[in-house]
Amino acid sequence: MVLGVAANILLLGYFKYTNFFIDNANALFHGDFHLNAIVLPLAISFFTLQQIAYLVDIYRGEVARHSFLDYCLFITFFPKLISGPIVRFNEMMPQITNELKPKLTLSNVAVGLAVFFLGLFKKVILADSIGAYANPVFNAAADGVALSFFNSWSGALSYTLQLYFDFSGYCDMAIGLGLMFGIRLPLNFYSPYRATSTTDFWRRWHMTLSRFLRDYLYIPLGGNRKGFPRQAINLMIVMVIAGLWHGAGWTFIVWGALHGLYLVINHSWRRLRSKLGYSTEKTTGTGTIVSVLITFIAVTVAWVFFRADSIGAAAAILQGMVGMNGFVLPSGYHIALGGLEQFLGQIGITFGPVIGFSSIPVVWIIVSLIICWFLPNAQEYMSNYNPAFDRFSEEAKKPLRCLRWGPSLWGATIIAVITVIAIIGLNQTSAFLYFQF
Amino acid sequence: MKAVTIRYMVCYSILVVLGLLSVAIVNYKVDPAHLFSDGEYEKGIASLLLAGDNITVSTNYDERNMNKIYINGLNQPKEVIVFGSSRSMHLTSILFPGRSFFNNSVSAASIEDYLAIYDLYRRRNYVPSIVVLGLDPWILNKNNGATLWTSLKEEYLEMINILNLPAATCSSSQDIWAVKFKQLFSLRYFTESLTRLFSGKGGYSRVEDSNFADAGILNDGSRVMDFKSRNRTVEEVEASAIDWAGQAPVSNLGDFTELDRGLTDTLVKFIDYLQENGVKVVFYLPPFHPSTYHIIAESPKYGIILSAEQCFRDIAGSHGIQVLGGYNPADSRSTREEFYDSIHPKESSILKSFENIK
Repeated sequence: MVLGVAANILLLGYFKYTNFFIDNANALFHGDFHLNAIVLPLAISFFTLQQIAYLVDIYRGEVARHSFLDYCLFITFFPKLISGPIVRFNEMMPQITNELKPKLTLSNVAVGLAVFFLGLFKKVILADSIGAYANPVFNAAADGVALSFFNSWSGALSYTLQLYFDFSGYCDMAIGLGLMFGIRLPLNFYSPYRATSTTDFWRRWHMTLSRFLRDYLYIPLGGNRKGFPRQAINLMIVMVIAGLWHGAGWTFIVWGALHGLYLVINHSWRRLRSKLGYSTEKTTGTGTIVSVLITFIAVTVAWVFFRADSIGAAAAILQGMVGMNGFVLPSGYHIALGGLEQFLGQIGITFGPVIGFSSIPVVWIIVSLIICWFLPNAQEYMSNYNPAFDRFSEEAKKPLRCLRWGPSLWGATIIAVITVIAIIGLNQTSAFLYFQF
Repeated sequence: MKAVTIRYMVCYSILVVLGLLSVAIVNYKVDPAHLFSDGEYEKGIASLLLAGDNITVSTNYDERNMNKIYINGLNQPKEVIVFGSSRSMHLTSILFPGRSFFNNSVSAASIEDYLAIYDLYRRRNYVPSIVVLGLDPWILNKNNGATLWTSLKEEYLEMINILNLPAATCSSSQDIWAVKFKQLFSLRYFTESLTRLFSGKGGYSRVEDSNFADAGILNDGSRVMDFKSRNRTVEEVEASAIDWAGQAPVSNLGDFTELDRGLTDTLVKFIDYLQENGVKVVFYLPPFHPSTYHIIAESPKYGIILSAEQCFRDIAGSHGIQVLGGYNPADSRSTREEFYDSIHPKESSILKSFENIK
C-alpha cells in the first residue's frame, strides 16, 4: 500500500509540481535551471486521489474481490474522470458487478438528461455570462491597475458566482451522465453559499474531496483526537495540501491556508460558545443570516487568491475591496445620481473611469445570488428521484411540489426550454474552470 | 410508470426539436446580420454608395460581399484604396485631396481580406496608384479566429495562386457555410434577432448631409461611428481603454504567441506583387489609446503586439515603404481625447498620422 500510494504521489508531484519547485528554487538560490515543458496528463489530480483511496480501502479490507477490468472501469468511468466526484470503489462497483446490475432504464435516462442539461445550462448560460465580468477586473489587477471599491467587489463577486455555477454545472452533468448509464454517483455540490460556517461550506463544496481529505489525511494525522492545538495544526496542514492540490502556485497555497485559518477560527468559536454555555447547533433566524453572510464574504475573499494571477494581483484586488483606492462609480452614473452628488461626495463616493463595473454585472450578481440562496438546487429540484448519493436528502426540507421536477408536461417543458437554451449557448462556451486542476 | 416516462420522453423530445427549429427559423427569417439573404441588402448599400450617397446603416451586413458588389459596379478605377480593419475605417478622402479614393476596410480584417478584395480590383483591371495597408497586429496571428473573409474565398484562392503561395497559409480554413450554420443555432444571434424584431430598427437609408444619427458609411467608403460612440466622455473612453486589457481573448489576439511565418510571407509577397505592378504601398499603424498602449508596453503578455509592429517596420524598411502612425500614440502625437475607445483613433488622430505623407 505504502509503495502504491508513494508511486501515485510521486507521479502527481512530477507532472504537476516539478516546474513550480524548480522556479522557486531558482528564485531562492538565484539559479537558472530549466526543464522542458511537462505536459500534464488530463485528470491526473482526480484519478491520483481515486487510486490512493482505492489502495487504502484495499489495505483496510473494505474492497471486495474484483477483476482488473473492474478496476480499469472504476478509474476511467468517463462521467466522473475529469473533475470528479472522487468516488470510492464500494460506492460505484457494486452497481456494475453482480450485486446490483446497472439499471439502463428509460426513467434513469429521463432523470439523467434533466440533470445533465440543468448542469449544462448553469455552465453555458450562468457561469460563462457572469465570468465575462470577472476577467477584466482580475486581468487589470495583474496589469497593475489600481482598482476602486466597487469594481473590486464586482470582480470578486462575479468570479465567486462564476466558479459556483461552473463547478455546480459540471457536477450535475457528471451525475446526469452517470445516471443515464444506470450508475448513481455521490453528490459533490450542495448549495455551498448557503453554508453557515466554513466547516459547513466544506461539507457542501467539492464534498467528495472534503471526504477524501478527512478520511485519508485529517483522521490519519490525528484529527481532533489529540487536543485542540494539534487539531488546528492538522486543519492547516490539510487545507494547505488541498490548496496545493488545486494548483502549483503560491496563490493556491495562500487560498488553502486561508481556509485552514477559517476552519481553526470556526472551531475556536464553537469551543468558546460551548464553554460559555451556548448551544453550538441551535441558532436564531438572524444568527443564520449573519452566519451565511460572514461565511460568504470570507469565502469570496479567499476566492480572490484562487483566481488571481499572483499574490500581488490578489493583494491589489483586496486593497480595492477594503476601499484603499477610493469609492468610484462610473462617470455614466453621474447623470442618474447627479442629485445625490453632494451627499455621495460627503461619504467619499466619486465618479470616474471604472473597469468592469456597470449596471449589467450588478444585475447578474443580484440574480445569481438569488438563485444561489433562494431557489432549490438541482438535488432539491430532482428530490423525487434522488439522482445522486445524497446525505442531505434526509435532513433537508423538500421544496414545494411545484418546485420539484416530475415526468409531466410541465416538467418536460421546463427541461426542454433549458436544453434548447443550453445547446444554442454552446457556441460561446469556455472550458470548465475545474479542468485545470 | 413506464408509460408516464415514455410520454414524458416523447413530449420532451418534440419540445426540444420544436424549440431548436423555432430558434433556427427566427434567426433565418430575421437574420440581423444578413447572413442568409441573397445579397440584396448589400446590393442596396453598394448601389447608394456607387451613386455617391452617404448612408446610415443600423444593422450588420456582409461587408466583404458589399465590397465585392461595389467594386464590380465601378465605372472607373480608384487611385487610392485602403485595406484594413475597423481601426482603419475612418481614413477618408480628405487625406488624399484631388484623388479618387475608396476605403475598403472591413471589420476584423485579416490578410486574407486584403488579398481577396485586391483581387476584385485586379479582375476589373483597376490597378490603383496607392494602396494604404492598415496593419493590425492580429493579421500575423495564426490563431486570430478570422472566418469572415471566407465570404470571398474564391477571390482569396485566386490571389494566392497568383502569388504562388500554398493555400494553407490562411489563418482559418473554416467554410463560410459552416459559420453560417452555426449562427442558425447561436444564442447570441438569437438575442440579436429578437432585439431587432422588437425594436423594429433595421435597414439603411440615404443621408442628405453628414449629420448621422446612427452609424454610417460616407461615399468614400469611410465610416462614421454611431451616436453613442461619438459622444462618449473622455472618462468613459479611458475606462474602456483599460477594460480592453481584461478582455480574453483581446480582439483576435487570442493565443498570439508568435508571429506566423506563413502569414508574414503572404504579406511580403503581396507587397512585392503590388510594387511589381507599379502600386505605391503605404503602411498605416493605427495608434492605441494611451492607457491601452501603456498596458501593452508594460505587460509581457502583450509583448507580441510590439513584435508585430517591429516586423511591419522591418518589412517597410526593406521595401522602401513609408510608415504612418504607430501603435504608440506618442508617434502621432495622439491624445486621450482623440479616441473613440481603446483601439479606434478619431479623425483628428488620423490627420496627425497622415500629415507627413510623401
